[in-house]
Amino acid sequence: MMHTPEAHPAEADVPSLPVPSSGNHPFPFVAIVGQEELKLALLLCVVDPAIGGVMVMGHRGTAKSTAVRALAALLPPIKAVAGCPYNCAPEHPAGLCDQCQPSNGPRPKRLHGATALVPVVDLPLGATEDRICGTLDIEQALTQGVQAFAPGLLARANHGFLYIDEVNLLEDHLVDVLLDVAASGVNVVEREGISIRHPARFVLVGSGNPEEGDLRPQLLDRFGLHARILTITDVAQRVEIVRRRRAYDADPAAFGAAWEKPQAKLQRQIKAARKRLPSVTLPDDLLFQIAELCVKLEIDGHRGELTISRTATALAAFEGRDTTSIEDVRRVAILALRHRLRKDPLEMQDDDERIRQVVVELLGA
Amino acid sequence: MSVKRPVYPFSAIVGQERLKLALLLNAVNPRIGGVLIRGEKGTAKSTAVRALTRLLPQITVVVNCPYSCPPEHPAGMCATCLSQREGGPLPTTLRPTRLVELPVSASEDRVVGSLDLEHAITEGERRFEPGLLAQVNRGLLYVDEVNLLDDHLVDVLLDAVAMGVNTVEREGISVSHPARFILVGTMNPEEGELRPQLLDRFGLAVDISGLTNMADRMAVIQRRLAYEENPAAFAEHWYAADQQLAERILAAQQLLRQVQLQTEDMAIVAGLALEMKVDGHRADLTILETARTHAAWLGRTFITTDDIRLAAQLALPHRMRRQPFAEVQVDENKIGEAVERSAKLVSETSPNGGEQKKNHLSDNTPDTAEAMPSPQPSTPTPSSTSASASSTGAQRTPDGQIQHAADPFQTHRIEGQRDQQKRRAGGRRSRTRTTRKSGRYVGNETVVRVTDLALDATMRVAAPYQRHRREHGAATGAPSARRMLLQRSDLRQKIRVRRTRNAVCFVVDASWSMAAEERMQATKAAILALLREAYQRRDSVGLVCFQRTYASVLLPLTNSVELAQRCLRQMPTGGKTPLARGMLTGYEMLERARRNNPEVIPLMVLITDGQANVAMGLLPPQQEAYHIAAYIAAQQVYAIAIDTEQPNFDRGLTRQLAHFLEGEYYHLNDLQDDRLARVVRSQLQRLR
Repeated sequence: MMHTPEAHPAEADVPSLPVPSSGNHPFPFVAIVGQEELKLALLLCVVDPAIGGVMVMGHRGTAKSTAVRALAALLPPIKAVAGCPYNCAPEHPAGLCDQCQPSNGPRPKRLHGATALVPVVDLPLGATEDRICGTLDIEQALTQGVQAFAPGLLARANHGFLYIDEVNLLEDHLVDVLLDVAASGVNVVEREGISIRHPARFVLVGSGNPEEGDLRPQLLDRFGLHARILTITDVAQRVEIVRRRRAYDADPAAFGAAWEKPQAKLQRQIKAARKRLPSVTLPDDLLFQIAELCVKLEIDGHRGELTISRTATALAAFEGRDTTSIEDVRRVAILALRHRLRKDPLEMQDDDERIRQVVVELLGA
Repeated sequence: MSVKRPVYPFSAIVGQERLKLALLLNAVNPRIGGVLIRGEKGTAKSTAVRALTRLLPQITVVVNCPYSCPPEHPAGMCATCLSQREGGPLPTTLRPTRLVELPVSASEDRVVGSLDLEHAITEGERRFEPGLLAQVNRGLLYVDEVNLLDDHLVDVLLDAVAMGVNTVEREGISVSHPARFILVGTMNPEEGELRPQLLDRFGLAVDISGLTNMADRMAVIQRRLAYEENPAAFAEHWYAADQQLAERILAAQQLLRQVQLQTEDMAIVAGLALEMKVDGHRADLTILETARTHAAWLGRTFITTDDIRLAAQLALPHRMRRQPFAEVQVDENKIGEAVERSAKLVSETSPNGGEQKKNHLSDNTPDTAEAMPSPQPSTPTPSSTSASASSTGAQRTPDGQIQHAADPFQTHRIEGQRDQQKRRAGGRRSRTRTTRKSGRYVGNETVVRVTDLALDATMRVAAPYQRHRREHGAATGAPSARRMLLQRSDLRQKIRVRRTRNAVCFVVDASWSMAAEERMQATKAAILALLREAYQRRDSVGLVCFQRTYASVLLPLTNSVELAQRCLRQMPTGGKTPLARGMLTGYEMLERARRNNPEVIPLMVLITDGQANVAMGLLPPQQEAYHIAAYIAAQQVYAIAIDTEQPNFDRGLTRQLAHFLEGEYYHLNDLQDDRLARVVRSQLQRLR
C-alpha cells in the first residue's frame, strides 16, 4: 500500500511531487505493498462483477484511490459499441441501450465494437444530481430547441467502476439516487423534461474514513465486500513503501516498465479466472454451511449468503481450482459479512472477531 | 421503450408467501388499492414487484390515447376520447397492464406532465406533454425506496391518488386527465418511515423478513446463482409456472364478479374496524375487497372468516396507530383474534349467518363484547364505542410499562418552572432552501440575478414566443431556424432543497443519584415519540448515557424507529456521575452530524440532577461540567437542561448548568409522559 506524504508526518521532508496516479502511467497494482485484504477484494470483484463492489474503510491518504485506479489499468480492455455513451457491449444484447437496440425499430444488423478502456468514473462529493443522472443537453437545447439527454456519470460508469471517495459524507439525496440505480442496474431519468432509461451496471467502489461517520445501512448493504485498510506496522514494509513511491514519482514510465512482468502475469491470471468462473462448482453442503453461517450471525436478508457464495467461487476461480472449498469460504467470510452485522451499541466485541468465532465454530479452524 | 433486461421469474421466488399473495391479489383486483412492502435489505422486495410485470393481465385501451382510456367506460375517459367518441366507436387495442417506475430523482414536470417544448417552439402554441401520471393510468406505479421520495412529489402523488385525476396548472397549461393507478411501493424501514397520509393510500402492507428455514435459504442462493449464470434458460425453466399463475389471475378475475358480499361479512369487518380503532373507512372497504379477491383466488364464490382474517392482517397493521413498542407480530395476532371475536358476535346475533362462518375461539373475552357494535354494517352508534373509548388514554405495552397514547390535537401548555434565558438569535440556520448549488432541484423561480439556471424551465418559458421573436426580432441577424432566442426575462433560477435536519442528542445521567430507571423510561418514550415524526422533519435522534467513569453512545444519530427500538431495549444504570464527559460525548456526536451536513441544527437535551462527581481532567467535577457547558454553548449547539433532582433537595445545580449552556431549563416532574418530546419539538420549532 502506498502512503502519500501527509499520512506520514515523519516523511514530510520527502519532496512531495504531484501524484499522477491516473493518466498514462498509473502506479502498478502489483507494486502496492501489503494490504492484501483490499487487493484481494478488488481482484475478486474484477473476476466476478456480480459480487457487487467493494467498500474500503481506512484513514485518508492511504492511497485507496491509487489502488482503484491501478486496478483499472490492469483490466483487459472491453469491447464497446463505437460512439455509444453507455459503453454498450455489442455481444450482450440483453443490456443494450435504446440507441443500440431501438425498441420500435429493427435491431441494427451489426454493432461496431471498438476496444475501450474500462471506465473508472469518480463521483465527487459535490456532484449535483443532474450531473450524476444526466440532464438536459444545454447546447442542443439552446441551438436547436430540442430536449435532448446529456448522459451523466452513471452512464459513463456502465460496464466499469464508479468510485466514490469519502462515500460516508455523500449527501443524502445523492445516496438515494445511487441506491436506486445500484439495485436495478438501470438509470431511470424522469426530470427536467427528459424521460429516458439506460443501462447503468457498474462495480461500486467506495472509500471512507470510519471516524467521519457511518454509512446508511441500506447503501452499505449494496457493497458486496467491505475491506479494511490497516496501518502497516512492519518497518521493512514501510521502508519499501517509501522506496517504491519515490522511484515511481521520479520516473513513472520506468517504474511501470520495471513492474511490467508481474503485472502481465496478474493480468493473465485475471483473464484465466474469468474464463474459468462459469465452470467452478459450489457443492450443496458448502452452500448449506454458508447459509448456516449467516443465520447464526443474524444477517438481515439474503445478500450475505449470495455474496459469500459468489466471492468464494471467484476466489476458487482466481486460484485456478474447479470446486469451491470450505477454505475459500473461510477466507472471504469477513470480507463479505463484516458490514452486514446488526449494530448493537452494547456489544463490546469487535465485529471481525465475532465473525471469526462463528466461522471457527461452524466451519472448523 | 425500455432496456431489455431479463426479469427474475415470479414463481422462482422462494418463500415470502404473504408478499406474493398481496401482489397477486392486486393483479386480480385493482380496487384493492396497491401494496406497500416493508422489509429489511436483500429480501426480494424489488425482485418480486418487477417479476409481477410479466403476470399482469391485458387491458383494452383506445389506440394512441396517451392516457390508455378504457373504450367501454366513458366515465374514465380523457376529454379527447370523450369528444371523439361522438363520432363513432373508438379504435381499440389490447396490451399488457403497465408497470411504470417512479425514480426518487424524478422532477415534478415529468411526473405530472408539462409544456410540450418542441411544439411550442415550432408552432408557437402551448400543448400539454403528458407525464408519468398519464402513462400509468390504469396501471401500476412502482416507487422503489418510497420512503425516500421527496415531499413535493409525495404531495403530487397524494393529490392524484385521492382524485383519480391529475390536474395540471403550470406554464400556461391547464389540463386535467384521468390518473387511476395502483400504487406499489417498497421500502426499508431502517431508512425512515413514511408519512401516514401516504401510508394510508396503500391498500395493503406486507412486512417481510429474511427466511429462517435453512432449506429455503439455500434455495434462494441456488436459484439466484442459476439465474445469473443463464437468465434466459432460467426463465425458460420457470415459464410454465409463471404461465399458470397468469392464467390463475385471469380465472380469479372472472370469478370475482360472482363473489358476493353478505351482510354478515360487512358486519364482521365493521366490528373489527371499530375494535381496532382505525380512522376512516378506507380500511373497511379495502378489507372487504381483499377478502372477496382472496375468495376468488381460491376458487370460491363466498367469503369465509379466513378470507377476512387474512385481508385484515394485510390491510390493518399500517393503519393502526402504532404504539412505540408494538411489534408487527403482536398486531397480527391481535387482528386475528379481533376477527374471531367479531365473527362470533355476528354469528350469535344473526340467526342464519352462524353456520357458514367457521371459527375457533375461546370464551374468555367477556370485556370486549361490550365494545362490539350492533351488526349493522355502516353506521356505528357513538354509544357502542364508549366502552372502548374510556380505555384510550393509557395502554399497556408489551414491555409492561404504561405509555400514554399521544393525542395530536390536544395541546398542553407547559407551565413548569421555566427559566427564561435570553436566546441567541435563533431561527437562522435551518432553512430547507439552500442557496448553494447543491441539493435536489425541485422547482424554479424568477430572480433578479440568476446564478443557478433552470434551463428546462427557462426554455419552457421562452418556447411559446420563439416564432414571434423570430419573425419580429430579426434585428439580431438571421439565426438558424431553431436557435432559441432567449431574453433576460425568460431566465429562471433553480430552487433546490436539501434535507435540513435537526440532530437531537439526549444526554442522560444514568448514575444512581436518582431514580435512574424512571428517567431512562421517560427518555426512551421521548426518543421514540420524536422518531415517529422524523419523517416530516428528517430529524435524527441519538442517545448518550453517562455513568461510572465513562459515557457511551447507546444510539447513534438515526431517524429509524426500528433501530432505536433495537438499541434501547436495555439501558444501563448505576455508578457515579461523569457529567462533563457525558456532555462532551453528546457534543461530539452533534458536531459530527453538523460536519456531514452544515445545515443541521444541533440540539442537546441534557437530563440530569446536575451533580457531577467524576471529572475528566484536573478541575473539580462540577466546575469542569460548567466549563464544558459554556464551551458547547459557544459552539452554537442549542441545549435544553432537564432537572431530575427532588425539589426539596434542589440546590439549583442543573439550573446553573442551563445557564452555562444558554439553554432552557425544565424540571422532569413537569414533563411526564410525552411532554418531554413536546418540549423538544417546540424548541426545534422555534429554532427553525
